[in-house]
Parts: sequence; structure tokens; C-alpha cells
Amino acid sequence: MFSPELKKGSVELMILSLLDDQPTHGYELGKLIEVRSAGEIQFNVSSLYPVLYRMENDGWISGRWVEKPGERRRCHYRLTRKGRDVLADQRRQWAAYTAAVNLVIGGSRA
Amino acid sequence: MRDWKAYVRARLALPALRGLRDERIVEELAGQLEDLCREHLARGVPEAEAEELAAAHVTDWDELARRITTAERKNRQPVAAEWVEDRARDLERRGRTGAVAAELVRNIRYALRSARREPGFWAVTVLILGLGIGATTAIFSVVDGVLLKSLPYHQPDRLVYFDGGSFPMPRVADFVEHTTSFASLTGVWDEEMDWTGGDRPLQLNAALVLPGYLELFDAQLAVGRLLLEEDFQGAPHRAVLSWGAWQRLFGGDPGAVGRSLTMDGNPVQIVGVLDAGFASPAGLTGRERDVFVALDPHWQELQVSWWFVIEVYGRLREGVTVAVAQDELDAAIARLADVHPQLHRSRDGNLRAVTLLPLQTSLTGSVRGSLQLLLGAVGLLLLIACANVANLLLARGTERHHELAVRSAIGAGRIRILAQVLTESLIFALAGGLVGVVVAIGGVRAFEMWNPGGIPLIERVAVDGRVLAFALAVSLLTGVLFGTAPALQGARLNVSAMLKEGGRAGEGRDRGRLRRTLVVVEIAMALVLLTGAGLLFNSFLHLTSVRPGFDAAHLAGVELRMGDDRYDEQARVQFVRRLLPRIERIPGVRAAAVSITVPFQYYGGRRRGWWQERYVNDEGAEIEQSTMIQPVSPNFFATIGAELRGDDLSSSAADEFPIPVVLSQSLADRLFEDRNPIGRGFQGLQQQGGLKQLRVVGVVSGLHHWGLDQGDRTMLYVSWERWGADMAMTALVVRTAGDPAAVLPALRDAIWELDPDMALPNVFTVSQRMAQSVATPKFYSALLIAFAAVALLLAAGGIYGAMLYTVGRRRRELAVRAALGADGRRLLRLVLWQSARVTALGLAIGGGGALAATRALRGMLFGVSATDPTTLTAVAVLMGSVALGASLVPAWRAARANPVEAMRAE
Repeated sequence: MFSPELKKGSVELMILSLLDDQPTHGYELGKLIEVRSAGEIQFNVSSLYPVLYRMENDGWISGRWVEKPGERRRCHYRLTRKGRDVLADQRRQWAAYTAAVNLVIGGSRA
Repeated sequence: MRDWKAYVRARLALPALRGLRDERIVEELAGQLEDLCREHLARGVPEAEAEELAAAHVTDWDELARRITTAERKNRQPVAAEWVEDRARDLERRGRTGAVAAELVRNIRYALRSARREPGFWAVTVLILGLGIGATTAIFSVVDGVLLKSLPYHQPDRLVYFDGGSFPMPRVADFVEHTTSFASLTGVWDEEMDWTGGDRPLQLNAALVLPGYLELFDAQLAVGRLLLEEDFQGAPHRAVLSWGAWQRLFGGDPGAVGRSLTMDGNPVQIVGVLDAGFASPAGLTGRERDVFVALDPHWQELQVSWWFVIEVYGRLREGVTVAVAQDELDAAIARLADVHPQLHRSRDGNLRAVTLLPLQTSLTGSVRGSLQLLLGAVGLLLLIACANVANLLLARGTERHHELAVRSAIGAGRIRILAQVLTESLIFALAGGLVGVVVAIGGVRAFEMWNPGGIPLIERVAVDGRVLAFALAVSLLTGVLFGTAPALQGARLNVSAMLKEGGRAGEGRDRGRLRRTLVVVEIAMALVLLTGAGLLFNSFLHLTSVRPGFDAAHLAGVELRMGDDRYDEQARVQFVRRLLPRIERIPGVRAAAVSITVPFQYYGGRRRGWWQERYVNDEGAEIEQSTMIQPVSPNFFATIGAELRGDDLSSSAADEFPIPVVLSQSLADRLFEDRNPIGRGFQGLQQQGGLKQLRVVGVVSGLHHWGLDQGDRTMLYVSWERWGADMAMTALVVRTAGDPAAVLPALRDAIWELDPDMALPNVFTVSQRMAQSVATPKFYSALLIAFAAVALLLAAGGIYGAMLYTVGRRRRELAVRAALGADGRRLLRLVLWQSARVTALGLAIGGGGALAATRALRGMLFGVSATDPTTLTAVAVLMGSVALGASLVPAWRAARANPVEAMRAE
């Protein structure tokens, strides 16, 4: 498992990236992160939802109740225009940052 | 499967139920836990265990709540609301009372949040309330300072004034000797004195005071000593200075004590200077005396029954009421009337009654009515503002009601809803109160600056603690007043219908009726104010359109002070004979004359002069007519440009017999009825030798000498040299070709050339005095017009809002009508008709109210009755047109009702 500090720095970027692919709800977001990271990264309820609410309050994402036949309604999140700008910016920063850190620690390119 | 929502709600302690937002969080988290649980179930875990596993995803609920709250707060909550929230949580931990307090605090937070959401609405509401509360507070602070605050004396309630004018000294001595109700009884003789000891001749306001006067009003000394018994012996010769005069005349030099002033030619020694804080009753009314001279009650010259000079003040004994003292005084006067009839009976044999007035009443009696009227008017304005705000709150759209319905649905009881809405109203009102205090401070300054003078105790008017307390009380009261209707409305909401229909169900008949009632009330009250303002304005127009009966625009006047020992009768005649030709040589001067007073030199109640009442006319009939004798120099009437029938008094009038006189038309009518008075003889001018033979040479008509509202007073004009030169009171009147103000300096110089020691405190143009004489009615009518204008505006706003609301609510109906073929004009009429009904009802009620209320104005009106039909009609038409005008926009909107659009909106 990774340290909470590491996760904290990247959670917004992960959520934004996932929502950039397609709008989805909180439970699925948690699952997607877990699956895509091959089980290496997991978020529990207590850490995921406060982040979602903060991002929503900042206007990066917006939630909307969606009802599908035979299912209970869920709150689906999607990127806002502002969220898309933030995502582009964070992606750039992340790439530059990890490249720089790799140079320092002498590892191979990611 | 477990009820996850209940599970989450029981554990997640969010700070407050913030309506839908918090509900969503609960539901979402519950969904998440349910999904996790299902996941475990799908793997074949038994249900109970699956639930435990899911629940284990959240270990620290408090931490989660804190994180969510932090996330939610970001960029959303104002700092104030956050603070309030923290306090609420603190309180809630303290149990039941704490919970109530927390609820209150939350309600405050709601209000603050709604203020952020609807800044425009809040601004308008707070501004309207601020104006209403501010105007009321400003007028209250004037009323408080003038009428309510107690006087700055020890036990001021025990101080009384003997209302009955001035008294001759022997009568005062009778009061002292034959009453026991008074711990102290003393008096003062206000006199103007000329002081000629300095570089320039100066006029001083002197008070000749009986023993005990200064002590009665708590005089304290700054320098020297107070007046002692030995100072009150013989002719006035010892005095104390007021602080102001000490500073002005001596620059605060302590060496002033011991010096002698020459007052009216007599030496008066200064023995002390009064403390800066001392104010005599005259000082409280803005006419502070410069010097207080000891007056010996036994001074020989005072011991006559006909010299009415002493004003009497007293302090009641402990425990004695004004009524008891009055009874004793009445009895004493009745008893003494047989012993000293010349003192206690008037010439017609009636008792000369004296009314004891509490000192404060006596000082403020002249303005009490006007100030109470203003307070009433501004109170009406405040009520209109309240009705207006209540209307605004009711009109606040459906969103708010939806919010209330949600709160109600999630368990808030009626009381809580009521409390929430009322809290919000009170916060509105308090914010309005804050604005009001600012308005009041400005208003009081404006009042002090623009008031026409003559308001006693005005220096004590201040926006102080008392006034702030009043503003607070008024704010709270208005909050309750305008908040009640919306609060009750809120508590009565039909929740399920509201939620179901998106809020429209609550918009029923009730609310429309309530709003229309408020508009009716607004129109009615505005009409009352308008009527008052209209009457005062009409009265002012009548007053200023009175023709004074002389050429007021080109007259200047100078009071000639020839009262001291240097002048006797002969010297005055010589002075005037030398002066008039010099004055007439001044460029721009057309004519000059003297008399004892110039028209408008004194106006209103202050009439000074020589009165006579007995005449025998040409047919031998004895006629009693109180008349003012006005000695004038030759060509007086030509000088002032009066309408004179017959002749002016000629320069030989002083020596002729029978004595030539000019009458006012009113006196001529009284003496000779419809006979032509010119040339007729009669008897009058009583002196020691009985009545004199007089002959009418001229009749002057329409001369308003004492004020535009004073009518044609009965006057008898005689030769100044023969009948006026023995009196100190003399005035020069000058007619100019151009602006009389331009010659004033030249007039002064010409007088000082002849007598460099003459004090000239009164050099004026008559038109300026005339403007002053109508300044008071002008001020009050302007103030009332301002109030009425605001009231009109508010009422117009009220009816505009109500009609807009009605049109909005009936949009569908109007659209259907339009679809069925009603043209725009018909829809316009439909709305205007409704507005007209509301307006008519308001006018009817307001008209009745106005008829009752304007009775209070009676004493202030000139040439207009309190029920003047022209004014009443005019203001009703004005109010009606404004109300209909205000509904034109909503009506026009209705006329354009578009069937398609309205249907689509459904």
C-alpha cells in the first residue's frame, strides 16, 4: 500500500481523469481506481467522498441523480468545463513532476 | 437488508440539516455502503457478516463528518455563518435551553445566508426600513430633547412658571406673602441694555433678577462671588456676568470682576462670573442673558401697579403638587382682589387669573403641537414602510416557500418555522435600524440646520443612548409588525401540496388578499399624510400670497436706541430732525420716516407698543376697542407705500388741534360704521387730563404691520414728535429705489455720524423679516411634504408590486382569455379595474382617516379649513393617479399575455 501523503497528492488527478472518460458515481469511481491500479490503490468511503464534495464545491465536477430501470438512484459525477481545465493543468504538472523526481532519484523513465 | 440511510443518518453528525444538500450526502453514503454490502453478498458472505464488512469501511464517523463539513464549507460559507455554526454546536451540547438557543442561532444563520443569496432584495428592504426608522428616530430625538428630557436643574419637576405675562412688583410681593406652596418664589425682568464702556457701543441682554433667582436655577460661579443681600439695595448697581459675555466682552480676563459697566448711563459693578454650565430658562430657549443684575424688590421705582415687568418663577415645596399650589394661588388672588383691586383685577373688574405651569411645559408650549404632529406624521410613514416590507416579504417568490416546506417536511414544527421567519424579519429590522441610526444622525443635523429657529431646548437634541434605545425598540417593533404576516403565512403552508406542485399551491387566494389589504392600508395612510402636507402647503400658499399693504420689497428698518440718559424727549426730536434729511441724501434712498415700530420689525405674537381702549365717537357713543397707538413722523405712509385714503400726517400735525390722526380701516369701521370717517372728530388718547379731541385726516387699509397672518389690526396713527418722542422705542424706516440691503451700511454710518455711541443691533430689510415671519410654516409644510412624498413613493411601490404579483399569478388565466380572443385592451382594463378597486378602498378609508387626523392641524392653518374640499380632492386625485400609474406596467404586461408562452410554462 502507498502512504496516505502520496495518495493525497494524486487523488484529484485520478478522479478527474476517470470522469474525463465517462461520468460515473462514487462507488464505481472507487472500484475503477482499484481495478486500474491492479488493486494497489484503494480509497475507502471516508477518504473518497469528502474529496468529491470538495471538488464539487470548487466547481470542478458536478453531481446529478440518475435513475436507471431496476436500480436505485445514484449520484453521477461529470467534469465541468472548469474541471477539464484543471485536469489538463494537473496532467502537465504531474508529468513534469514525476519526470523531475525520476531524474533526481536516478530511476528509469516512467 | 439493513436500512442504510437510517444507519448513516444516525451516525453522521453533520452540523445542521441544510435541506436537500445534506439529504443527498446521507443518501449517497448509504448507497455506497449498500453497494459494498451487495458486493460481499455476491461473494457468498452471509448477510449479517456482509453488513458488518460494509459498515467497517467507515470507522470514524465523526472524522468523516468533519471532513465533509470542511469540504462543504470551502468557498461556500461566509465567515459569519461559520462562526454562528460553531456557537450553535457549543450551545447544543448544553442541553435543552442550549438547544433552543442553538435553534435561534441557526435561524440567524439562515437569515445571513439568505442575505447573501438575495442581496438586492435585502438592500431594498433594509433601505425602506432604514428610511422609516431613521426618520422616526430623528423626529423622536427632537421630541425627546425638547419635550421629554428633564431640565438641567435640581428636581426640575418642582419648578413652576407663573403664566399670565409679566407682573408689577407689588403683585409679585402679594404672591410671596400670601402663599405657602412655594419653597422659593422669585422673578426676573428681561431688559436690553446698552453698554457703552468698550470701544463700540454694544447691546446686552440683561436680566434684572430678584433675590433667589440665580439660586433657583442652580447658578454656580466661575470667578468672584454670587449676588449677596447687600447687592439688592436701591437702584440696580451690582451684577454677575454670564460665561459667554465674560468671554466675549473681556476675553475671559479675571480682572473683569470689580470693574464697572455703564449700562443705560448708570454704573453697574461686576462682582462675579457664572459657570459655563449655567443656563437660565431664557438660556434654555436660546436667548441666554449676558448679565444678571441684582434687582431690589423694594426699589422705589418698582412700587407701581402699572409696570408689568417681572416674570415669576417658583419652586414648589416638597410634596406640593402643581394643582394644590394652583388652588392656593387662585384663592389668594380672589381674597386679595378686594384689598388690592388695581393689582388683581383688570379694568373691566374681572380677576386677573394666573396659571401655574410646570417650567418645562412653559418653555416648550409653543412647539409642543408642531412636534407632536411631526412625530405622528413620521409614525405613519414608518407604518407605511412596514406594510411595504411585509408586502415585499410576501412577494418573495415561491423558492422561499419551497424551502420552508422542505424544512417542514423534514420535521420542523410550525413554531420552528414561525420562529425562523420571525427571526429573519427581526434581523431585517435590526439592519434597517442600523441604517436608520445613520439616517437619524443626518436627519437631526439637517433639522438643527434648517429649522427656522424659535424651538426651545434645541441644543439638547442629540442622538444619544436614549435615542438609540428608542431606535432599537422601534426596530424590534417594526420587525414584529411586518414579520407577522409572512410568518403566519409560512406556518400555515400546506406542505404536501407545496412540495408536489413545486410551490404553487401556497399561492392561493389568501396571500393575494393579504397583499391587497396591505396595499389598501398603505394607500390609506399615505393619503392621510398627503392631506396633511397638502393642507399645510395650501395654507402656506395662502399666507405668502397675502398682500402686506405696503411696498415691502423696498423697505429697510433700523431700531434707534435712544433709551439712555443722554436722550430726553427734546434730544430725540432733535436727533430725528437732523437724521432724516441725512438719510434722504444717501444715494438710493427715496424717503425716510420714523415711528415706534417698522412693519414686521416684530411679528407673530411679539407685539410691543402703546395700547389704548376708550373712545367716544362723533355721535357721543362710548366705544371700547383695544387699539395700538402708533406715533409716526410726517409722510410715514408715503414712505412705506401704504394705501392711504385722505392725507398723511403733515409736519404741522404736532401742533394742530383737534389732534390730526390716521386710522386703520378696522378702527374707522368700529368708530363710524359706514359713515365717511375723513374729517370727522372723536375723542381718544386717554391721558391724565382725560380724553383728547381728535380729527381723522386719513384712513389706511390692508396694512399688515404684525405679520401676514395678523390681518388688519386696529391702529391709531398720531404725530411722533408729539406722542412718540417721550418713548425710548423708535425705529427708522427707509424706502429705497433698488435693493434695500445695499443701503444698510450707509444707514449705520449716517446714524453713527450723529451719535457714535448708539448701539445698532437691529438693522434689517423688511422683506428679510417677512421671510423670517413665514419660515416656521414653510419649514413644517416642507417637512410634511417630504414625508408625504416618501409615503407616496412607498405606496406606489406597494401597489406596483401587488399588481405585478397578481398578473404573474393570473398569467395562465390571462393567457387563456387571450387565446379565447380577448384583446390586449380588455386585459389591460381587467388589471386596471382590480387596481382601481384596491385604490378606491384605500382612498375611502384614508379619506375618513384624514378628516379625523387633520383636526390636529387646525391651529397651524391660515386661510384654509382643516376639511378644505379642494385640498382633499386634489390629494385624492394625486394618490389615485399615482396608484393607477403604478399599475400600468403590470397591466401592460397582462395585455401582452401570450397564450403559447403561458401554456409552455406549464
